Amino acid sequence: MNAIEKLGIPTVLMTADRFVNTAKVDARIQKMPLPRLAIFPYTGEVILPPAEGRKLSEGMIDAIEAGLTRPLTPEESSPAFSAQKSERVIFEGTEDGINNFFYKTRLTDGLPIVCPSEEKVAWMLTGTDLPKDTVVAEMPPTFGVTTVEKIAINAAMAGCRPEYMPVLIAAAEAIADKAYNLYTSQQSTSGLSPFLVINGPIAKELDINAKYQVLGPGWQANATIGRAIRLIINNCGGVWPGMNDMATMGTPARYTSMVIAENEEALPPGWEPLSVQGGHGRDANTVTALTMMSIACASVCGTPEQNIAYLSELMAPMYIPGVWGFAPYIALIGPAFAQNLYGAGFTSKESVSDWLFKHTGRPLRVLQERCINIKHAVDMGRLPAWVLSATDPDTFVPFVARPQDFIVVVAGGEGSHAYSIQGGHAKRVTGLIDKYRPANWEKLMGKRREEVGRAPIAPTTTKGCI
Amino acid sequence: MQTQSLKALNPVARPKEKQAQGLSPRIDSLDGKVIYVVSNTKNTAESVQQHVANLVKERHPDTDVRLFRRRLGTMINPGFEEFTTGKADAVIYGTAD
Repeated sequence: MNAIEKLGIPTVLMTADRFVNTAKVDARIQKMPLPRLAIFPYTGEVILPPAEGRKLSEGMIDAIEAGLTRPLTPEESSPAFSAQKSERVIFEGTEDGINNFFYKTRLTDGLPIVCPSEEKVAWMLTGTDLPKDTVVAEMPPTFGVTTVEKIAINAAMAGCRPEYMPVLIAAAEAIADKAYNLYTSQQSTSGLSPFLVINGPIAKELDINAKYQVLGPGWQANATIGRAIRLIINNCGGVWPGMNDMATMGTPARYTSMVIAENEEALPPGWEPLSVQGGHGRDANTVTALTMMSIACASVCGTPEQNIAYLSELMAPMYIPGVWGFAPYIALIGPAFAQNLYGAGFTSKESVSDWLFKHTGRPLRVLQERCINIKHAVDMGRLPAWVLSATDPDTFVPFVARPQDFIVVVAGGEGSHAYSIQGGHAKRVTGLIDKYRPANWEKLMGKRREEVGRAPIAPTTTKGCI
Repeated sequence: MQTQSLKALNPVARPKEKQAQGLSPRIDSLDGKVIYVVSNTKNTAESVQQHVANLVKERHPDTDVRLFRRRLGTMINPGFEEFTTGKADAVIYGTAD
């Protein structure tokens, strides 16, 4: 609404009490005074009965009228803002002192950081040939000017190695893409996290896990690249819980932003990797930015038809009342599950998405009973428009608007599982990593092998015997 | 006991500097004006939009009150045409959850 004020049109903002801080942050970013407000108590994300809607409106109408007609104060007419300070060095002290300072000033995720010293950041910058002042993105939601050096500083804090920089730069660019809609996903009550999938040979070069415990700990690249992306969102995107990040619950995925590699070796014939689906070549190194909130687990337990039905059943309860079709969703499918489906005639990822689209949903009466705002969902492009004119309460309403809202990713170890992962607020964005690799990449890889190269795990090896 | 002193670089990226701008001058009265009541399509905004429009009309019968729905995800949302063509004298904007 600040944009409307900028057009010279007096405006009043109706907002819930809990979102006033968000309005303050937005105004500050726009270098404008706090907008005139009509505040109501937060009612939850439901369509209100008409009597309650009227009552809420009656409680605001005086503030609305006054907000549009009461003359501006001098501060509202000509606001003064102190110049932004942005010191290059923000603290000097011991490692513990630096950790305490970064924690107190809300610059961390709560875990200890590696001090982003001049030396450490310079080391990180050896991972790209881009000049450090190159602007990669204006990071939503506050649109901080995110340079290569800012990425390197946050990467150093997260414990990254320099060779992760090309992935980090491509990932930062992808999540700042307008289509990815980080502006909304990081301020929404739904509390989504990025879910980043790496494709191409670089995944193996960097030891990005695609197999056993693909969503869990044990891999430096998965853990620290993801952690760096979270820190970049916080420190360059300018979000903080309760200030402008209104996530009711959030998700543990926000600690490490869920970075995985697709298990391309396990893709059945005809199942293209996300890189190819994103319009790139088979050998392209890419990062695909998706979102995630909650997870439900399915296992191979019957015929392929029963298995995919199980996956679909797990997705259907994940809708959020009021925002049906909170797409896109991820079908994270393990190798055995994928082979099981392939054997039954699912000869492409698209065939899986098509099946899920046709079978994942609820009868119209369920949407009506649960106060789903169908008009809203259609308006947002989350449901096909024909649903608006449906009247038969038994009409099957799909869960999302299009088959491609179900994104199939193959990853994980040789088990029987598949995960339904709830995303939302975003369109998938696939970015190229290769353009950010430095000329001396092979040298970096040699250094990597020397310092952190890991031998493959032999089947008989146990940790206690190493 | 740690004794080594380290200098930590700043991880925060600031937005581009913008020119400060004040709010728009207010209107003297709602009477006879074109007032847009905007919903960002969240549920509460949808629930109050028509009621707010009705209340304005009840208080100021000769006001031209118009409803407008604007999609969420404002970064990727056009739809400002209504406000750039001089149609609106004032806007009541609902961002409510």
